[in-house]
Amino acid sequence: MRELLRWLFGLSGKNRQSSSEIARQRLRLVLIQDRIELSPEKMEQMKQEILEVVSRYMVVEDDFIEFEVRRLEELIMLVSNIEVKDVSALMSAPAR
Amino acid sequence: MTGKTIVITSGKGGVGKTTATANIGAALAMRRHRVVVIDTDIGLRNLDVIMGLENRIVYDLVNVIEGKCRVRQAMIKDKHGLELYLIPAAQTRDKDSIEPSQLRELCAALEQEYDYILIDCPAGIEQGFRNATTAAQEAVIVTTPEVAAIRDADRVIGLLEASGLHRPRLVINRIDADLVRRGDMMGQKDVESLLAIELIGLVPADERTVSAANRGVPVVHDARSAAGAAYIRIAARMDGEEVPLNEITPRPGMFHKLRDLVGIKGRAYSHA
Repeated sequence: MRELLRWLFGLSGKNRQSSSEIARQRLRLVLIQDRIELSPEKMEQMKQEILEVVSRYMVVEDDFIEFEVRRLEELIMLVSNIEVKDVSALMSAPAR
Repeated sequence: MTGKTIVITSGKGGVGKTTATANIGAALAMRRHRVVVIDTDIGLRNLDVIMGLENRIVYDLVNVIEGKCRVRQAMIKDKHGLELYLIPAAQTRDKDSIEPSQLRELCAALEQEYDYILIDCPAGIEQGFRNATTAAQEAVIVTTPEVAAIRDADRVIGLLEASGLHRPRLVINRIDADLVRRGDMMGQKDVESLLAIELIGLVPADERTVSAANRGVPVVHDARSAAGAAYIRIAARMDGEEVPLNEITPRPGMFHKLRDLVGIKGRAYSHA
């Protein structure tokens, strides 16, 4: 009966994300992982190393807001975003 | 005459490689081509039963390669009066019984006399896959709109590229337009954008494919089958004909919606 009502009012798949959309998004990431053959451990290691380098120059949060390999059409890119906590540190960063 | 050898592969099993091979082979033969289909799934042969030729097997692929018989003796002619021949796989041997170079040599010889040689590749990416893909100049990847099948197809596309088989073409099999409409199955666009290779055909889920397999008559011989029509269009595209790819559309109307709801299975869907 609930199914019937949902169907009658066309609610199914509109409020919730459809399963095909979930499948598409999961696959998008899995395929990238498969293609670049970078294990989750390696990803984590790279993340920590990048974090370490960035921390040398500015005061940042201790984790990325976003850190993933993503594909845009034919382009595969590493997208990482991190919050800068203290902007004044940017000014006094040691010159190299 | 110089024909070409095309491997039908997928990575994952059970997505319809053998059915695709039988039907594309028959559809090409219906276009007046001379066609040989080779089952390379040694130890697990199936193309013979799909084509309804299982009772006519005397010699097999391994016999040919080992020189126990002439090629011609292992070629079983199709029942429908077409210039279509099957070379069955050996059932009691394993994939290591043949080497890639041996299959390539056989195909090269067949290319002198036939227009198309289709190789039904075993599932997996081991020896059997290497045998089948090394022998071919072109590849057709079969997938269904499911995560596991698409993931494996992507791996196979990578392996084919690495081994020099560029520009494989894609068949998306068993598309259920009603599920796509409901958002419970990935559609043509989704699969295409994930795999990013050229599409050569969309085959709808069609129960007539199942009954055709039961009978051992490829579904291209069933004039009322949407899947059969799809395979005929794939053969035309292989032949270089411009056949537009129509998105598979759901069966329309209230009646079908109700029928879905109460769980009565529909018949053939519309086609592409």
